[in-house]
Amino acid sequence: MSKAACILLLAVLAAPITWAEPFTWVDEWSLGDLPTYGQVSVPLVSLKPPSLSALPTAFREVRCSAFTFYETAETKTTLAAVLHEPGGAAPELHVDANADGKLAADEQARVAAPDERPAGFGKPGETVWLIQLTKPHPRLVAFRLNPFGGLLTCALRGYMRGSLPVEGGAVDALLVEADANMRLDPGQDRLYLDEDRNGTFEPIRERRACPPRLGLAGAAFTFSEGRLFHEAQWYLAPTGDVPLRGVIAGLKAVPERIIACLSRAGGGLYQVASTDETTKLPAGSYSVESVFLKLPASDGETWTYTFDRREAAPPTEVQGADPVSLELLGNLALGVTYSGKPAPGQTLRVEVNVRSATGLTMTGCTKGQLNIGGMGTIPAKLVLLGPTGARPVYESSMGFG
Amino acid sequence: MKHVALLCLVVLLALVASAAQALTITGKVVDPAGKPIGGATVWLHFRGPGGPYQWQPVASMQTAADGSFSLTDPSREKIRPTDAERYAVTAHKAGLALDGVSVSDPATPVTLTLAEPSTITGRVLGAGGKPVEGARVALTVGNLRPDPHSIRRYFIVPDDVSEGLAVRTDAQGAYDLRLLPAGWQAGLTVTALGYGRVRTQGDVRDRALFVLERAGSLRGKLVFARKPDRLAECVIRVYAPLHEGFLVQEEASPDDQGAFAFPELPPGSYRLSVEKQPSQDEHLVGVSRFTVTSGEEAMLEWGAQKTYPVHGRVIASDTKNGLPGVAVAFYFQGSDGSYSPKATTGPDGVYDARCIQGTYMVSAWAPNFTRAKDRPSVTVEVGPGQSGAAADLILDRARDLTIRVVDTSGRPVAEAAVRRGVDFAPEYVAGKTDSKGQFVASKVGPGLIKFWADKGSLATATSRQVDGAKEKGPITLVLQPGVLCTLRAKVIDQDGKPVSAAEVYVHQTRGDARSSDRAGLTDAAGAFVKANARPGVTYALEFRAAHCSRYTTGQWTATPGAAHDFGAIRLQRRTGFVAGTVTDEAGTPLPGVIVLNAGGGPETVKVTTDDQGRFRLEGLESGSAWVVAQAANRPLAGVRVEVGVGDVKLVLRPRGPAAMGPPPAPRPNPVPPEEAKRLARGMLVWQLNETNGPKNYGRELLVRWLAHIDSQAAFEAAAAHGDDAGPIRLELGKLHLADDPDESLALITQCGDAHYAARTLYEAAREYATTNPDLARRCVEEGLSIASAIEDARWRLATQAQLASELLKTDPARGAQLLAQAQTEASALGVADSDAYVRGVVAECLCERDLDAALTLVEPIEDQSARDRHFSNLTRHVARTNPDRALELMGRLSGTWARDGALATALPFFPPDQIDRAIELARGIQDQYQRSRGLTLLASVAPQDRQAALLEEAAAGLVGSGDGYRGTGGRAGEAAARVACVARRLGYTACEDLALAAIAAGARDGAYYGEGYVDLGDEMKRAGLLAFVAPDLARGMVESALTRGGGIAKIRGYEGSQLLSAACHVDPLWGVELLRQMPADKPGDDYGPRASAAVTVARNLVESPDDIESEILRSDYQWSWIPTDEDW
Repeated sequence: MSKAACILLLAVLAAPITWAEPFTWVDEWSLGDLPTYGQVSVPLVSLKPPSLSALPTAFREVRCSAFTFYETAETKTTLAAVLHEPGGAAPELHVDANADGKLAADEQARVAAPDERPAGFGKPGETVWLIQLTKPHPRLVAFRLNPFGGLLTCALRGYMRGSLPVEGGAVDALLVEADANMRLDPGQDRLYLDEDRNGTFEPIRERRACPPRLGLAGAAFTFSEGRLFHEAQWYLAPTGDVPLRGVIAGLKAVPERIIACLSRAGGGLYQVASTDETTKLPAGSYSVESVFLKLPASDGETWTYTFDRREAAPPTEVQGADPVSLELLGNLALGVTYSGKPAPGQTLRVEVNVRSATGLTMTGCTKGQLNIGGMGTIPAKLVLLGPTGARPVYESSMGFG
Repeated sequence: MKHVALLCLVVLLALVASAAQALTITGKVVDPAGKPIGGATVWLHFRGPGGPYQWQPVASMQTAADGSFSLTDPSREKIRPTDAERYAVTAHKAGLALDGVSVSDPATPVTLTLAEPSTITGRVLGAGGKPVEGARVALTVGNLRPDPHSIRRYFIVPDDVSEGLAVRTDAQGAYDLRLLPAGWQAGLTVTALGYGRVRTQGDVRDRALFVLERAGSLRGKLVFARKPDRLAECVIRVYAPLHEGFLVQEEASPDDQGAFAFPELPPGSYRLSVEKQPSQDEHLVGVSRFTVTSGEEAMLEWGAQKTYPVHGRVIASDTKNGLPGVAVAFYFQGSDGSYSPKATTGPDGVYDARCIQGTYMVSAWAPNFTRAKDRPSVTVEVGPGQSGAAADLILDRARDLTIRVVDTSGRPVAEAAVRRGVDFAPEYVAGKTDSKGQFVASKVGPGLIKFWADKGSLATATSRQVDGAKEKGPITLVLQPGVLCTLRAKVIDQDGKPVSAAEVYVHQTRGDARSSDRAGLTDAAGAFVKANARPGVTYALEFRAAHCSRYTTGQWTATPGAAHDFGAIRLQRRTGFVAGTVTDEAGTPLPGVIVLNAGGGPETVKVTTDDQGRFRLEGLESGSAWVVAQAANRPLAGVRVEVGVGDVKLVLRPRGPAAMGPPPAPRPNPVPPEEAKRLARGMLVWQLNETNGPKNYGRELLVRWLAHIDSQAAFEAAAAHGDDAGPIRLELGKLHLADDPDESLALITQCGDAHYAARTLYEAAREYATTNPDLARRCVEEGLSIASAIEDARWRLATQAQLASELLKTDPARGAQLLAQAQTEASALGVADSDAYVRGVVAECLCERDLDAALTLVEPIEDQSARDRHFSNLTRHVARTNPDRALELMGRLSGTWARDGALATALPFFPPDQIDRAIELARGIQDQYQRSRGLTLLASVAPQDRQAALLEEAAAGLVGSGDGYRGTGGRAGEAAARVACVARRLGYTACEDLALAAIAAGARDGAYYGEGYVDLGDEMKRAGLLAFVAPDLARGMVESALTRGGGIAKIRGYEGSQLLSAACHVDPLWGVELLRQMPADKPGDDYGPRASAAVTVARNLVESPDDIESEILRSDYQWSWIPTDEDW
């Protein structure tokens, strides 16, 4: 990440303490007894990968696989690996290490000597191959055949180290890119924290999933999700509680009941049950997961609406001492689709999809005890006209707004 | 002023005079030649609101010499239209048959004809088949002549009449009852000293054999926290269905201490109910059951439940004022239909009652009012902490509307049928016009109502629609010729001969409304004519004849005045029969034994053996049939025979001592492993090559299971279709987890779906928690790591909580910390839909550490059934350590059905020292299916010397428990088959008996519905289970189903998959053969029936039968917690 971008991010966060430091890259297979490489297994099949222009004509019995590595957060490179299994001879592994779509003579992986093998990578006696990639980044990778059959397993050398400043002194941290794709992925990649400060990382007790957000000894760290693994950085995020008021723009009626469920980046669900009063939430980055609303209708009945998240939406930063307003729904967009031929006497099935500005989809709409909507579609305001100029043949409306 | 007072007095006197004018029905009793019969006894009956059997006598007299009579009901002034058929007149004279007629118009004299009686004969046999002399046989139910097919056809013969006409058996136990005309059906009651009283279910025609067992007795006590004040008014009823067609129904009153006794009750499983609750504060709810055994006294304490207040108001929709004197009923939203307290509104329309805790639907009825269409009832929660206040019940004011029916010349038409429908409702006859051509339609409320009329070939051209709120009437309907349509058909057999007396059902459709009615019988020439079909209605005719396959015609939409001939309908006659004898092990014929064809459909034929133990089942399809004999206190006997065999010998041995042996040795797969793998691989690859189009569920299943056999082939197949290889990684990871954890865990986490991976790791952690704790812990750690990548916050929370609950076992501190966090997050969730589900999941994870916190999460869940489900799951966890608390929690469930289910699943978790208590509680479960489930599962945890009795009890209760509706027989049959499977695994030595019980229990499936459609799904599910217990029996069932369904190629969907599974369980190679006959899946068919079938066959080829059986036993949600293999 460039310094300018980093400063910009800090300005956006505007938190009392924010700084970022890159982790240091270490080009080794292990740290002490702890294996620190990531690995991935991909199918090894007879189909030629599209990234390879042609297979060498001398190859007879081949199986191929393709590995995907990230060059930037958005750009990825697929490298082909080809296992040549000549009858009666030891198999050979060829890897398109420079990603040019061809297998050159110097792109054959060599069999690793015992002391070159990544610790714990394959069982003794199993063949491990090594080759130096030049694209997308210079990396040493190891390969072996997966014992279950039909899979080629790749290990990517190198890990990252750094320290996180918390009360009581910095905590050493170690990032291992467990899925071997050169990108930080929450849930996949691993973070070790030397929480007992004894100088070693315990394999299970001190291991965490690499989260987008991490709480540690009064501090909150935000890792830059989706960044390239070798550019890993963290930011100290704001902490403390923030008064938050949920609002729904354009809602004319006073809700009888409201339950909004907010999800905080890095973990945690929080509820907002009023649009009148503020709710104290830990500072962080929030997205609205669902909204449950009960509204009075003009005829005295009660309408109940349920909105649920069906797609990703940009989160909202919630921080500072002043109350923050968070739009729960915003304007509603109605998408009307119909099937059938719109002609007199024909059955027309009309579906109305309601989507909020905050990216929620209406999944339920109920009046009184009678459920008139199902999952996904509800009748909003429908006026179905008969033959031209005739009166409406069906009319229905919902009580929202 | 004086004039005014005088006028008032005159009006008052007129009113009094009018009120004093009671309803009178006149008529005549004649012989078949029309000659009057004097001195005959005539009774007038009134049918109250209690149901079709509740005919009450209101008056009786002797006919005069000219046969005339005049009977008066002093309590009523006139028969209202809604009272039509509520009155009946019956007559009898010694030596002649009874006759009866329902009365719709009291102005029309009634004629009763007393003919020569036909004879109902039979015998009454007692213990050891010995004749019972002096048993009293009485006619208690008869049917009324004019409407033999109506549900109101039965009437109860008044006790005094019945007593006077009863006969006694002779030294041979024989009786001869001459009371009904030929063709009528009767209900008989037999009372014999030492045997109690047994009733038939009202369908005796000319012969009935009673086989009685020595009675036992019941001594019971009603238990109240405070002494009830109305104990004297209380009536205790007991009811037990005996073997097919017989029942016991008795009443007793408790003494002032609440004690009651039934000194002679035939053996059976009884249900208790109460008439008139003896206390307001505590109610007896009809969930208590007890078993009576021959010669033994059963003891019972029936505890009353605390009641809570409920109140509300009934108002008129127009005035909004409260309505006094309105009957209000509270319907308990559980399965206990007998509990529905009643109340009446006071002067201000307010009602006030007490009910036990639960949810109730409240409805009201008042004369001259109808229930508002948009709010026919309200729902109210009753219980501690509830106000018990129900929303206002609204009634619409209704009134009578006079309808005149005239012909085209304006002349009134008498006896015209007036029909009425409310918008969408199917038409029905409201009544007939009187001699002035008038009919008074009652209870006309707001809303659009249609009226139309017809008589003979005349009918109204269109219906007359009126607005019930505005129409004052009278309205006139004009009958015209040329409106009604005629439907014709002729029924012949396969030889072209006419089939007379075939039943004809008319299926009508108009818009969204549809109805089906039995329209009559074909005549001697096999012809059927319906001359009053209405234009605009779409008709189809269905024909049913004894021993013939059913037939439904295509549809025809009637046009005014048209006639339609459906032509000659050829019914296939089923001429197959099986006959034989049933004896005991000494060769002595056994009379009164039920014999049925079972498991081989299409319809169950059931007969009873005669005095010589002989039986004959007719109307069977050709081929083979299972014949099962069933008698009380003996294990079933069954044999598969070729149809047409006339000398089948079935031996019913006495019930021997229950035997449990050692658990059976593991069964190998019948196909050698290498051969099985080769076949399975070939089949899966063949099916994959046939699968084209976008990725679907069927193909994913195929590659996942191919991975079990040949992972390289699976990856090749996925790549060839361009499918993601994630599911194969997951499958391989699961497969090798125990033997290579490093590789396996890596593959599972690389499957590409964080939720799937984390769930898999959670399940693995549970599986290995005791056998491999290190691996379990690694699964939890990896699971927690990957779970944080689950995108949906709710599923992430649920999975993290589940993993945290497993982490408690190895890292209590961190597990507790994660659970506390999950609890906080879950309490922020909503209370409906998936939020509610996640609340329930987190609560289950929490409950063993902190039950109160778990309850706090579950209690606010809005949906009652979801709340019940989660409460029920919590009780199961709590039962391990605190059974009393678990029982208390069950009290919070909303209905009996939910409580029954919760009890059945929680009881086996009671601590071992409370097994007796658990068994007694299981016996008290009301729902037969749940009771059987509870007993079976208790058998699997009970000491070995008690297992056999529990299993037999569980199976016995299911035989005959299906009530004939579609699915109930299937449910009972499946439950009994599960009992048989569990019994085999426990080492029970007479599993064949239980397998037969499953067949007999499932025999009441509604085998046919719709046009030519055979429902084989439940039958094949049952066969699939029985294949593990009695493979030959299951093979016969599958063969029969294949024949009936027209081959595997024609049997699709659920039925096809169940049939294929059953065939595979019998013999995997048979499954291979059937798979080849299945049609290919259609491109784009997401489910892929043949792909799924190929997986089923492959699994049955390569896996052990024991593993497959285990998985099936666990597959049903209701049985899913069945103990693991380690527990057996």
